[in-house]
Amino acid sequence: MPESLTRREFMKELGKLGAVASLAPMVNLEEQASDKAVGLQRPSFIKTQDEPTSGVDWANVNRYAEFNTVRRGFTKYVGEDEANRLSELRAANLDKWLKEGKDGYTLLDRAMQSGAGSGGVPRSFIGPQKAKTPEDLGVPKWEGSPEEAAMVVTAALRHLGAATVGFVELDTNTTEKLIYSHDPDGVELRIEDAEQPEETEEYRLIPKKARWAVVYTVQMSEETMTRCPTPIGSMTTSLTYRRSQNIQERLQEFLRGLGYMGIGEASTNALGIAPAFGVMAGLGELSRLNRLVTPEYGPMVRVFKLLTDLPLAPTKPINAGIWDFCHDCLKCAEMCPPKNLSFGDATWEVRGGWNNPGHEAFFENSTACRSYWNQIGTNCGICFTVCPFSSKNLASFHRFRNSVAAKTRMFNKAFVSLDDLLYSPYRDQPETPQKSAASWWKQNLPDYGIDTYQTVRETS
Amino acid sequence: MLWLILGLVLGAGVYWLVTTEKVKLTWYEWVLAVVGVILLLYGIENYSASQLELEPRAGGFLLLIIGLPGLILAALAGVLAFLRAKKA
Repeated sequence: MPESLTRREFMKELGKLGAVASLAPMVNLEEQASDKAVGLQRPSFIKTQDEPTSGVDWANVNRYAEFNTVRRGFTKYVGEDEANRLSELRAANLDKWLKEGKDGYTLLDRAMQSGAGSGGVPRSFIGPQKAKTPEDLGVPKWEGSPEEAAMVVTAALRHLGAATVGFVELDTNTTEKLIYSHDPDGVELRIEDAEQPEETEEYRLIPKKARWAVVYTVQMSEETMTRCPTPIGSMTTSLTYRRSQNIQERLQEFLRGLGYMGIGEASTNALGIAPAFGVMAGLGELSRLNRLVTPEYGPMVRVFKLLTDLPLAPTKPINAGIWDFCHDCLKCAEMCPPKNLSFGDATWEVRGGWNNPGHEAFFENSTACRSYWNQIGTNCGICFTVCPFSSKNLASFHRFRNSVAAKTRMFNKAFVSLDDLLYSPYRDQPETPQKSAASWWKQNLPDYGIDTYQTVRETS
Repeated sequence: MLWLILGLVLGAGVYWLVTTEKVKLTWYEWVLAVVGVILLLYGIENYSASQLELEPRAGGFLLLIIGLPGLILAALAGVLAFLRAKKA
């Protein structure tokens, strides 16, 4: 630095100093990365534990055929006549409400629903297989400790659009049973000793060496879901599914580029039981909705999974007080128009063939849910949006509530009452969207309608 | 910017309370004032964050539920001190 500085020179030197100071942390990036603990760096009130908060009796868990869910097997459960009647009702209601200009069902909303449900690459069991492998490039495949592998896969997934990421090591007597016996299209999922995955018309072969499940959530927009049940609300899930298709393909190609397999979902909700994998990976807890509720986003995520032979450090189930909270909160069940959710305590008794036995849950009457979807001409989502944990968590009250609920059940009912007051103006009219669909078009929303910084904020 | 302004106002207020000869707070008035100001700030924080969350209705209620009791406590401390000063 010159001995005597003019004002301009002084500012120039100050700028250099600032640049050095801001770059300094990056110099030590590699060192910091090696010190980074695996898994989400959550607040201390979220405890990890060996077993999930909801009970599992692995001896009585069997691999489940996805086509038995109401999603695929609705007609089987309600009969063809009822399915046809509901299908006609759906078409008639959609037509009527479009012409009436009902809030959320207008041409504008229907067009947006179509737009959001478009795009996304087709799902594939083995991926496009286009990325150059290390073998193609003449180098050995990427090697790292399971912790390092978990770190790079998490970083890659987050950049590709996932929210939270966890890992489950498959065990024949336990977690492997969460892989479906049959995919939604009826194709059998076989797990056998093999070098590479294989796909035929009868079966999809998962090599036994693909022992690690990558489980990840993709955020959904609360601002659209809170306008359900309407077509504008339904685009919440459709857009998230389209986004997730791209994420899966990119993850498959990333893993291939490292020299490993990436066995994905061959279609929507294929491969394995998403909420169960989410619970085992510690991304959240089971809930009264009988879906995954996460500490960061509540149920406002969709959960996806992929199998790989890249060894990954598993993440543990968590206890954030969510399962306990659901024992004290009936909000989703009370606000469900067809009253399909459980009003009682968690049980081991399933409600129908659409549930898989062997675990404790608030089992739901899925046929009532699906019938209601037909009645309103679109999917629902009220139970997701009214959940007290479905909050954007910028207001510190939410963090206070989450930390208290994780420690004691004493204030849960008070928190539910407060949530009713704050976020549910139509508490007694659940079929009325909590915010008008028309108001959505006037909002200044972030990309995809989600706060992508929320995970960073809550896990730093 | 909001927090900078609030910090300046709060700092000036505390400085005035500590240095002025006109008003001397008793220990329980200090407790009321501090608790009141903390609640008021917490209410403001939740209100402004709720605006960012696009939940103005919730923000209004949080300000009312948390901030109003805070304002009452802080005002009570002021009123007690004022009445005592008037008596003396």
